[in-house]
Amino acid sequence: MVSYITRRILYSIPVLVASSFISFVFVSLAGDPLANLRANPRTNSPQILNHLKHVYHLDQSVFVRYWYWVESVFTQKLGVSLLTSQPIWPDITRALGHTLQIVLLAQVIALFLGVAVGIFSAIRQYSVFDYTFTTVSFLGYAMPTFWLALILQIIFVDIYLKWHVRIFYTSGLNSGVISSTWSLDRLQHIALPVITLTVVSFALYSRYMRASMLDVINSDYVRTARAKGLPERLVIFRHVFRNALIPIVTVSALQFGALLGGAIVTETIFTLDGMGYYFLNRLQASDVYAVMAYLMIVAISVITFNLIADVLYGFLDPRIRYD
Amino acid sequence: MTEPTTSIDVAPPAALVDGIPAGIQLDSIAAQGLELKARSQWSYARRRFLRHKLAMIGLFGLVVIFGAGAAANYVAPYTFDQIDLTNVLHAPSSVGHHFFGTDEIGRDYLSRVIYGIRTSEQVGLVVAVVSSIFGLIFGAIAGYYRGWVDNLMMRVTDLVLTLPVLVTLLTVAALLGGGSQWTITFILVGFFWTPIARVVRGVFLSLREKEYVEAARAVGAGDFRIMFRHMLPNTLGPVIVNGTLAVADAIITEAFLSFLGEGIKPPTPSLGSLVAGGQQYPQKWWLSVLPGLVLVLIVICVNFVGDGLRDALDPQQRRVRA
Amino acid sequence: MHRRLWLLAGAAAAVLLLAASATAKTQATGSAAIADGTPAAAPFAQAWAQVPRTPAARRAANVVVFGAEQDIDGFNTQLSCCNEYWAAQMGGNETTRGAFELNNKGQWVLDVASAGSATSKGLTYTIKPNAYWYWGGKKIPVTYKDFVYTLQKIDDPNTNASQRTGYSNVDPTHFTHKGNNQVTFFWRTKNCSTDYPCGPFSNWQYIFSTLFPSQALAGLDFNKIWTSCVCGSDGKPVSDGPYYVSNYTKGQGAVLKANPFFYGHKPAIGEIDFKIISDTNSEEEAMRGGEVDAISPTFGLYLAPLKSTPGITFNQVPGYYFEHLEFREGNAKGGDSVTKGSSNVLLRNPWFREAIAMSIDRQSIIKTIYGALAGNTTPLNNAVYYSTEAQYTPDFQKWNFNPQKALALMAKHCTGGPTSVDPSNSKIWQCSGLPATINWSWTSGNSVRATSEAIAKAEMKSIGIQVNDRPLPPNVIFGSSGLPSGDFDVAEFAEVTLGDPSDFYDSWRCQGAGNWTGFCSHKVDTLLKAGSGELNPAKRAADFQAADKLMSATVPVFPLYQRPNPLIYKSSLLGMVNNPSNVGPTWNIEFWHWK
Repeated sequence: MVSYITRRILYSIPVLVASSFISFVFVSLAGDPLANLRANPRTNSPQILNHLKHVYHLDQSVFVRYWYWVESVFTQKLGVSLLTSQPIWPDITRALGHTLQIVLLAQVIALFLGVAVGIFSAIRQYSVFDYTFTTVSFLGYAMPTFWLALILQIIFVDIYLKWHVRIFYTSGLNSGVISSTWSLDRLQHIALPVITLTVVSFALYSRYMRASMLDVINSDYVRTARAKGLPERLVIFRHVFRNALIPIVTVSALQFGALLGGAIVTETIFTLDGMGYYFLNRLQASDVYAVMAYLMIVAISVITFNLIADVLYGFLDPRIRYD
Repeated sequence: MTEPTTSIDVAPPAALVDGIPAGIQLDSIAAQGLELKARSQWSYARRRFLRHKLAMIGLFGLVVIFGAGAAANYVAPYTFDQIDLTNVLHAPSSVGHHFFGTDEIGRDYLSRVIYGIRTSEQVGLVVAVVSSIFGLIFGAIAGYYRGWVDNLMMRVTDLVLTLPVLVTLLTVAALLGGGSQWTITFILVGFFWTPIARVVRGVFLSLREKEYVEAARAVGAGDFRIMFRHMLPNTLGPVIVNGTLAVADAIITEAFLSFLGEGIKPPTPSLGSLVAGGQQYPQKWWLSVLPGLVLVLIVICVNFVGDGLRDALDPQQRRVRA
Repeated sequence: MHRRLWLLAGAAAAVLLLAASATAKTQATGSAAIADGTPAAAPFAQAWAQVPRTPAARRAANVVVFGAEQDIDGFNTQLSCCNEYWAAQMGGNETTRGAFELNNKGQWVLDVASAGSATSKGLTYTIKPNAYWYWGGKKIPVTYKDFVYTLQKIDDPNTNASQRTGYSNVDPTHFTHKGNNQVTFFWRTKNCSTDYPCGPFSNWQYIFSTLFPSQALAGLDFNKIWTSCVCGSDGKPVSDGPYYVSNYTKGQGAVLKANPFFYGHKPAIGEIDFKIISDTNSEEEAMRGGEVDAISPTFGLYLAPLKSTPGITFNQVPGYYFEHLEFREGNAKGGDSVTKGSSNVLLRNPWFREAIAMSIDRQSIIKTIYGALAGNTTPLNNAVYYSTEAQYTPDFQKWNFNPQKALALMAKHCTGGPTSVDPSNSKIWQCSGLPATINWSWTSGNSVRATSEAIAKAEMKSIGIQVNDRPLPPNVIFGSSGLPSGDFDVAEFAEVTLGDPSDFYDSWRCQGAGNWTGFCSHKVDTLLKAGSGELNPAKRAADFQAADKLMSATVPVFPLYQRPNPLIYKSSLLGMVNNPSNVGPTWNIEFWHWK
């Protein structure tokens, strides 16, 4: 197992390096950091543009610029933005904190609800409960997050306009009061984004749980347990449930890794100071170092959580052996 | 009806030899006086699919929606860029056939949504087909040749997975000058082939050591013949299912990109950019809600069809969904 | 299996706890340490906790809350990183007052200087005797040294300056002073170049309209100061204006406190808090709900509900926001960045540009995109002066919406087009073998411009000109491969200026750095050059007006309108005056007071 993990990590390093280089080339090509200055008739003098070109290393080849970035990452804690001369670490960790809170909450709720619904759907297969929730899952899975977010926003703005009461806020992380992480004001603000993210994940988990439960319920050892005369409740909760949980654990690890990049659209619609919003913002400003910092964090989280998912799978399922 | 009143549908076991189910006890069945109609794997699959209620609903929905999109020029009551500054931001009504209302410069919204469907379906179908083909070839080569070829190809796949979609899109769009429909399609194909390649590779890896492959090689069949004639048909099931679901995925991804303003640029209407445009007028709910609803319907229908296909083509299926 | 699952649950709980504590920690560490190593100011959150929640309570406590639409990257508005509107509103305008200030009528008024004059040789200033810098509670006089420091830093080629206009005309090495309060500078006379021109700069009051504290900033790297405060080398706030920045937290806001040593009108409000609300819709709701007392938002239809909300004053003036069309004249040579030409050389012909101008109904575009908020916004008809300025002459009026005339113009030079103005027309004119087809570029994602383009496209279609859409993303359109390269036919965008006609000099002169159209008229050039160096206001106006008259004859650019500048505030908050330029509403912040 340990050798498997080390091998996977070693394999990911060249992948990460190659990915970072390609991303860097793409980000550098995607926009011009001097665009805003060129647009303004007072700021587009050749001397200013040339000087800034030199400061931003734009007068050098992309390989040299990549190397400058790598240097900056290791000597200055993820780098100092060339455009704003500000260290990236404080900003990105702040954004990461906000995203973590929302994503964690959404995933935990989705997991609990999804697993519960999945179990009951499987036990009561083809019942009204099952059909209702299958439809709900399909709907939830099919709904694009930006649409759901917009609809929630429209609904709650309407409620505020009609009845002048704020149930949930439709944008920002806090209102007049700067709130601490778990205050009521903060929760009221992140409720809608959490709901948006929960819906899709819930659909995924409930479908997976149901399929996985059905798979296990029809397997031989469960039939044996029943034949042995064990009460149904014990069969379900000691044998079926635990084994059915295995794929869910791995899927949720994968989901979490992917969502750490911040649900870009949800954060944009609700104007949350999170990873996705940070990324889009910095990308539009062509702030290469900040965008690269974001991409590296996301890439590492995806790779790490993929590895965690695979390891967990091997850890929990004795039938799987990694060599 | 030429078939006997009772025909026995034998669920094909996992192992397949050229698509013909093996290991059926023919003698005992014939002895009971029943006729046996030997059906190919595909006709079993087709029957199971056609019996799948949800899949049929989905198929019907898709035909209606995609059909409207494809025949946009005939179905849409107006063109998508006909402005009418006297009729701005009207709610949906039957007046003047503006069933979906009008937008901020008086364009008929139903027409815009229909043209948007056309754009989306073009993107979705092309992306699904091309990425499936590419993924198939890629996975086949990786799974068949194994060794360093496989290793290298899998690392390439990993690399593609860690690349950010948005940034790549923006770059290519900036380089090629603007987001045309085909630029977006091309980029989406570049991201969508990886899961199919993985699946095909997995199947190939497991089939490679089967006896019939060894036998074929012993007889002197070339690599390509073995790959395409013997092994490929077994991957078609998952590939078709994956490809179908990819249609929905591609449409949603394109809508998401257009929503951020980076997808297909005007004048071509896209469902995503229509939803985005509605954001500035939150009281005019039809601008955001209706195109999104169409998106949801498309995805649901595609998912139903995909589910039905998976049930039909999955040889491990033990229950037939009634 | 049993044990493994518990292990897993335990690990998950640990991860959750860790994440929660990390979130809490990142919330508490508000502002980062300042780049020059000095400790950060007290976090905004603590100050904010003391701010009363309701407008009535704020009135009693003499506090104003102003909603800021964007976060900033730093307070040093002279640097390219931080030359932002909100950096000026949240700190720049209140803390770095200069010799002159631009008032709401676009006139320069004396500020720190009690006297200032310009001659053909140079500039002379007399500093007010009661002008002081507040530096962490200490009182330091404003002296000529601050002028010199400002000039030298901005003129330094190694400074990452966003602009040097005006300062680059002044010689940084040669100056004379009498005591601490009088100083004379000289215009450059040698080593003249386009970047460092010689001779007088006609909008001279702009120079030294911002001053930096030479003593407080001694020894610091100008490129790195003020990333999260407006402070001296010891981290304590510094200001010569009515307020000083008591603290600033990224992502949250800034707190400004009244400066007891201010030389001008004593500020009535004790504390002004700028709260960052990045979303325009929540900004509007915050204003409506009373969470903030004033906002200076981007103009848009979402503001409409505020017009009818009781207790709120909705003010809008035409801003110094030059929304216009630029026509690329074929392959004509433009500035240094221009390397490509338009796709259709027909645009070289004035008659084609005139036909395009006359086929666009600017008033109906304004009405459609601004609806109920259009107010008194009318089409702009001058390419150097704004409609609210005294020197404005509506030279471009002759190209007002007249589709019949446009059609006649096209018929005169082309064949194969429609015979009457017809919205359902599908014929396109052929002119000397070239089709009347143009590409129209704008910043993608900007819905106002997309709407304008859709309307203009339909209007041009009805007289036989075809328009192809070419939107470009914001960081591409003004990048080296976008408009500055000359790779466009017609482009719609805006320039935000300070209201002075010399702001357009580089855009309209032959091969100017901002000249992307390729327009070149030596007569216009002479007039613009004369105007930019002319110190006599009457002669200056005559020069620029004549230049504009000549430009309107051939329509190299077509002005559209001035976007309104809104200022929305509680009616009980008095003293606020809307400013059409980018100086913004904080230009007279010392006069704000509660009723």
